[in-house]
Amino acid sequence: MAGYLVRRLLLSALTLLMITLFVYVAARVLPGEPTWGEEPQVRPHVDAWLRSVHATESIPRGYAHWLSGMMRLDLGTSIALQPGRRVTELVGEAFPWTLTLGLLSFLTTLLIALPLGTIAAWRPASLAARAGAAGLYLLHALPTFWIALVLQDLLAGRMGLLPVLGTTAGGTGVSPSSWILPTLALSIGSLAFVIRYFRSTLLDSAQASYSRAARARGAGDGRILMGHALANTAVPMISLLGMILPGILGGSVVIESIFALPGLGRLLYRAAAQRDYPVVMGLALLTATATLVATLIADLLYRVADPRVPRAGEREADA
Amino acid sequence: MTAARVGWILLLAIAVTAALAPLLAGARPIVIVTSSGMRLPAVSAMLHPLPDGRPPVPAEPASEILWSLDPPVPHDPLAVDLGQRLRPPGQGHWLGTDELGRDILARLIHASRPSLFVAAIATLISILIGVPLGAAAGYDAGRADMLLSRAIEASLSFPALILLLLLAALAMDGRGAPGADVSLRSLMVVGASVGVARWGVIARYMRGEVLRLRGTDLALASRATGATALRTISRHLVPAGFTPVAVSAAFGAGSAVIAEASLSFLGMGIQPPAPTWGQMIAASGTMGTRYWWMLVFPGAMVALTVASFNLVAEGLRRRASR
Repeated sequence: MAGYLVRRLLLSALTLLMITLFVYVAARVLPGEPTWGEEPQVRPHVDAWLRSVHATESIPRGYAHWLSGMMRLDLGTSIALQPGRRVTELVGEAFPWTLTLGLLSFLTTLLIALPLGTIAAWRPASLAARAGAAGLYLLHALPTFWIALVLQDLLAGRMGLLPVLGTTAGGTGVSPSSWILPTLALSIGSLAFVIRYFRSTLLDSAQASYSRAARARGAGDGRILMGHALANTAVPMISLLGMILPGILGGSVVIESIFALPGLGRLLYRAAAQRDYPVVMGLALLTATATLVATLIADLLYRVADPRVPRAGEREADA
Repeated sequence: MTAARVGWILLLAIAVTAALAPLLAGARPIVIVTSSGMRLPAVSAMLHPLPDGRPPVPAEPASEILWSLDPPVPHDPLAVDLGQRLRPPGQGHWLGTDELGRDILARLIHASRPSLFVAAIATLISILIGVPLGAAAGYDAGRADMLLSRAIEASLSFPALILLLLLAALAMDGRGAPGADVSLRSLMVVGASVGVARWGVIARYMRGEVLRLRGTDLALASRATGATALRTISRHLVPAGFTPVAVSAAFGAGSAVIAEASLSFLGMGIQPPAPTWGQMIAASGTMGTRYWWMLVFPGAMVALTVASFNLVAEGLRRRASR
């Protein structure tokens, strides 16, 4: 286990290095020429950014220098959104919003997906399961932002049941009910994936030897599913967090923009629109790192929960 | 009729719509016959990927036109008509008009072009990067594989939309005056960005297949005949293991459509004046709830296109596993 842990950590560190390399090379080679203007309050911050990416040096040398700044967690200062403020400060202010939204929508996704996935696995060939699968298919093909707008239109606009935006004017006060729409909209984005994943895990589990043994003892479908298969899906479900975190982070960009929640997604959207490169690069680095760490933790937990994971499988797990 | 066939037919219909867009919707007649000859104004527009926004070619005096054939939707997708703004679906404008009085149906038809164009470019780029790197990693299975696998893992760590916003923000110029060339340039940027953001998925499948095949008799036989590693990979292992890659590429084309729509929705995708489904949905979002036709139809087009790509992908997968 210790050997595996060390190896896994080293590999992840290397991946993290690759993530920073991607972001740096993208910043250096891509051809955009933004017009930030020559205003005296903007120019120094543009220059500071150009210095921080070492724009005058060759790419390998510049990367090495830039990386040493990143090691000190110095993501630079904002150019356009709030000129001169540290990116880490902006991220710190936005993070609690995205954390809340992400946790709420993760829980909501599980609350909806687990019962539906169980029903789908109960009688896979039934009409209800097939209709459900077709519905999921359509849901999967619709962009999250479209679903969010329709929910906003129907529940907040036409029926007036819920607040239209996530925050009240000025972004200060929040009522609990204003979280409902953004949470729902974000959950629907990963719902189809989670239901399918859970259903197939449950079906695999219902075919496993312990389930067949239970069937041989005379247990019925329901008893096998609830008493044997369900408990054994707990371990595979650990992987889920790492799998849907990118979806939640990416989805937060459109959802927070639509519902005016001042989280990381909206910060990224506004920064991209104004070509605030330090903020965009910082957020890309942080979200990719978060995904990497979540996957790593999920893998390690999986290993602790299920020590049978074969050694030979490690190569495959590398990709 | 199988689901996959439905997917292929839908996809074909959307592709034909995109290819023939200027013949289906536009202010330029398809055929004009005058005493001095015949002209085909809409046909020349088919070569341009995006509508150019120029007013229709100054036509001959009406008295000289002997016969002309207009497109079935006789509205230019860019033509602003403030007297006709926010009309619900009905006579004259079958699917209604938007906040500037532009015909929704004409815009939907023309917006199918950038959407499919991005899907095509992105899929091509992700295959061109992903297949060689994935195949090299899988065949090597040593130190180079370890590094390439880290690169694949790194590219897959970025939430897709966030990586796209990073690439689009870095590759696109600041907001200039909108024009046909700005639209065209942003089309290229979006296509390339979506392709670059997805190469890791293709590479991962290709690596897995080549890793599986390199120990088989197929690879052994190829090497035994004296083929070089490059030839073994490119002539035997990649073709033999291409099915999972093709399935993933077809799913990828569907997610490229969503990615393009998301970027356009956020204003970071294909720039106006060229119409895109994402922009149209964004416009409806700012207009409030009464104008449902501005929201429903472009959303339906995205869903239809994505669902048909997904159906095709699943058909490929099912055929391979038989």
